[in-house]
Amino acid sequence: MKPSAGLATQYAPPLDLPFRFMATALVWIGVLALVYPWHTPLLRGSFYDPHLLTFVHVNTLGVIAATVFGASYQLLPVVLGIPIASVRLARLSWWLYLPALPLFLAGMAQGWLVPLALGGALLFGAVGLYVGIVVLTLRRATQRDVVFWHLAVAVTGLATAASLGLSLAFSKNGGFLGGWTLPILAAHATLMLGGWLTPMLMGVAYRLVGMFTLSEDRLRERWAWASLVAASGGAWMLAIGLLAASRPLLLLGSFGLLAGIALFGAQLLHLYRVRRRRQFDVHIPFAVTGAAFGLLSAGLLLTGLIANRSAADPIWVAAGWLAIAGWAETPIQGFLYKIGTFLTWLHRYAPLAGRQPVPRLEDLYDQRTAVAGWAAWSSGVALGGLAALAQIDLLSYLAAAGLSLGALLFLSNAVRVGARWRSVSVKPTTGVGLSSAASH
Amino acid sequence: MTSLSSSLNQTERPETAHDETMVAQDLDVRPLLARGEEPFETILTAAGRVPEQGALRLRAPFEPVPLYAVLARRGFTHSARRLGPEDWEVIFARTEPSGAEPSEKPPVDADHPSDRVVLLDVSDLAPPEPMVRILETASRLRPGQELHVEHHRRPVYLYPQLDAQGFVHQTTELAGGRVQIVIRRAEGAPE
Repeated sequence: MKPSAGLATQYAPPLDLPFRFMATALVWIGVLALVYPWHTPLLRGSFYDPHLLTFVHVNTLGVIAATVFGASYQLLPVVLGIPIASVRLARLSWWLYLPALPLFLAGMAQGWLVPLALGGALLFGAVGLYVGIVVLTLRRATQRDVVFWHLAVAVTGLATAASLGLSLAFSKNGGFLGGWTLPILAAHATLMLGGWLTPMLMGVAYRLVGMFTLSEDRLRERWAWASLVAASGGAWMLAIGLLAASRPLLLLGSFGLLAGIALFGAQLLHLYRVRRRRQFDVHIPFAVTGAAFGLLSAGLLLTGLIANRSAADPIWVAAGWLAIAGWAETPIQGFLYKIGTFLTWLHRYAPLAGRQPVPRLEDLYDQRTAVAGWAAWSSGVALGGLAALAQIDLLSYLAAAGLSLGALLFLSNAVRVGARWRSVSVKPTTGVGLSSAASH
Repeated sequence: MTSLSSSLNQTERPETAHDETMVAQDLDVRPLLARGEEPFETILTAAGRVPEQGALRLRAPFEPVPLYAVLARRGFTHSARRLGPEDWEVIFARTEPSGAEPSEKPPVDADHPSDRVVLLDVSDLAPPEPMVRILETASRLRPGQELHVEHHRRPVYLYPQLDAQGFVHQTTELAGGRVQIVIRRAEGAPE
């Protein structure tokens, strides 16, 4: 038998690569946990308020993008069965990303044009590297299933949305976009949330849910294709409709987005119903709630369009908030419980597996804390949406309390998992299997 | 589907009563083996199609002892009878959902020291249990033994661990997206 160790070893991505991005996301979650009381009331304002925009970008770039980039670098080899195109460039993308975000956010919040432009350019560079690495990796893939196409569609949405975002950042100086600024801003947000995040989350969810609940072989492929076409097609139609000021495209697009997310939600429930691993898994409430928030967000969007609400109407802020904090950040927490914990387990315990008892993933964090965090967080998200719609002060402060508590409980578990990261030397002892009581 | 009670004229009583168990899958692997083909994947695929309270009826030229542990982990009990020379009928009855937790007993068949190949199917395990089971089983391999692992994806994180622990391995793509990983100790590697 010819050993294939060298080639096979290359398939496994180095653990520091996803870890850097996920650690960055955790830092920004910590920042948000502290500032929610001051920033959640911004939801009652205009979506063009620079402070609200900054708050939004802390969420989208600091938490969501960092998590998705890190998770992508880890999951792509697993999903596609091939190594990522360049580990070195992937690491470089993090080095660009790291200073970019504080510069960009400071510029956005304070109206400082140089940091805004510089941070925007660095961010574009980081995103550009990520897009390039993902595209090159996807091109090498031989198995192009429905999840592959979710990733391909997602990265296309990201590239386009990032380009629109860069133009907005540079337009802050000379205002060269003029009257196009608001439509491009709206298109940028739509493509980020609907063109990138939506297919990315759906595709990743199919794989992760399938892997951890043993329902991968029960994925209804036709539903997956239908939800991809509906949701992504809808998002692109929405973006084009915003730029072309076409009401038919807007209505059709938002309906498609809603239908796609609804199909995804139905698929998710189907996978959970038929899963072979029947025990409770911590990611389940996060994923289900996230899908519900996504549906609500898309529903608000369609309602606002049908009712022909003005650009200043709070319904748009509510829809955006539910999309960001609900549809994206809620399942992200759930998936971080799986991905981040698995990374730590891999680093700390995989070298010991087969030689001595090792803990299960569930032993690395506290499940009750996770569920309590989910409850607090989800309440906060819902109250935030309600505060935006109803324009009630008290609701925004209650929302902040829920969000802060939920984020802090999540972070407490993240610290608990992170504490296990330290390396150990392998002791040649005899031992078997997984130990639920193992503590090292 | 045929009723088990009408077709079974067994000399060995099953461990549990299967009178109400319907045979959902009939599989005769004798022609496959006669052609020199490996029937393991075919058997697992057929077993995967058996609903709860259903059964797989397998005909083989020998008693497939290594399969008992593999399918037990998938929630099957078994009853076997010899119908004639090189003719065995084994009924694998699914008595619990296939998400049943695998037993802690390692699959290495210590009662059959002549077994060169150890079979392990980790498809029904969620991460990181496949890695743990594989490494645990591999650590018990004796010189000359091979571990044949079936999975439904390349376990990319497993390979560095196998390398570090002194194993050599080869992965083959099978039909339906499944893979087989053959593992044995490297020459000169300590047990």
